[in-house]
Amino acid sequence: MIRSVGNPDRSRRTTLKGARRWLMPAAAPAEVVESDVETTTMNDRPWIVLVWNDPINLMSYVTLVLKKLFNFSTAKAEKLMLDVHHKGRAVVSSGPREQAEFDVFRLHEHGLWATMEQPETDS
Amino acid sequence: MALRRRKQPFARLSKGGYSPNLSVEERDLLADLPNQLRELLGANDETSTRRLFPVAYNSDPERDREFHDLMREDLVATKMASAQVLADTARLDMVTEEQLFTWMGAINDLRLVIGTQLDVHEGEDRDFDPDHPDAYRISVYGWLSGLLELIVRALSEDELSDPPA
Repeated sequence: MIRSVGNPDRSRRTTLKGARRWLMPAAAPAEVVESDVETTTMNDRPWIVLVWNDPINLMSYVTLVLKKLFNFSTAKAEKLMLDVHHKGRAVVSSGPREQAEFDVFRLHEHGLWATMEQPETDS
Repeated sequence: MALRRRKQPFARLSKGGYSPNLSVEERDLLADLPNQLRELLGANDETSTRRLFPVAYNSDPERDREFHDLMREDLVATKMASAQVLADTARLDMVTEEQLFTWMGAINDLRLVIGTQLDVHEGEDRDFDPDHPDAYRISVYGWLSGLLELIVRALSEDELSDPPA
């Protein structure tokens, strides 16, 4: 699906770069998506960001990264980390595509296996 | 060296920051490994560094390529910068919290590269084999894993005030 947005790369790059600070919590979602102008129905459905189990990242490290990046409580970060460990994956955030790409990028910065997808139906 | 009784590694200082309390040999290695990582990143060595650039769109190669075209340069720059910080501060007696967070990321990048080179698999718990052709690399990987645990623990201990769930 080609997105019908004028010069999306520039705005995405600015969004990603502007908010990127090492291990700092994400800016409020509203701030991140405000400048984006995606109005098609396809793009209105939320995206989810998944973290996948991998054989290298330490459990304690994954927990701390999730806490730092998403401002999760220790309990929530540990639960998500255990979901990743036992179930193979966990949804760590959801929102507009720009927000999801930003989250994926920050997770990649920290070496986590993160992907994003747009579920067929909201759930 | 490890045989000599030494202070707790990555001890929190009352004036702020952390004291790595590592041996000279460990500091030397920590200062050298990031330079090797920067060389691999600079040479675009896909075989070793592919784990640093994971897939973003699992089932959409087109969008994934677009994402990486857009972000790879920034991701390389971040990792280069973190590695540089680790190399530059590895021998300091005191590092700031921010520097220690950067150490954490850079050490994890090193583990990801070495783990990829060693083809580490899930649930693998093999005994150390000194005759293994990669024995030294395996021992460095284990040492980095231990260091990372200690750093994560040190940085997690400060998190006394959690945001409400």
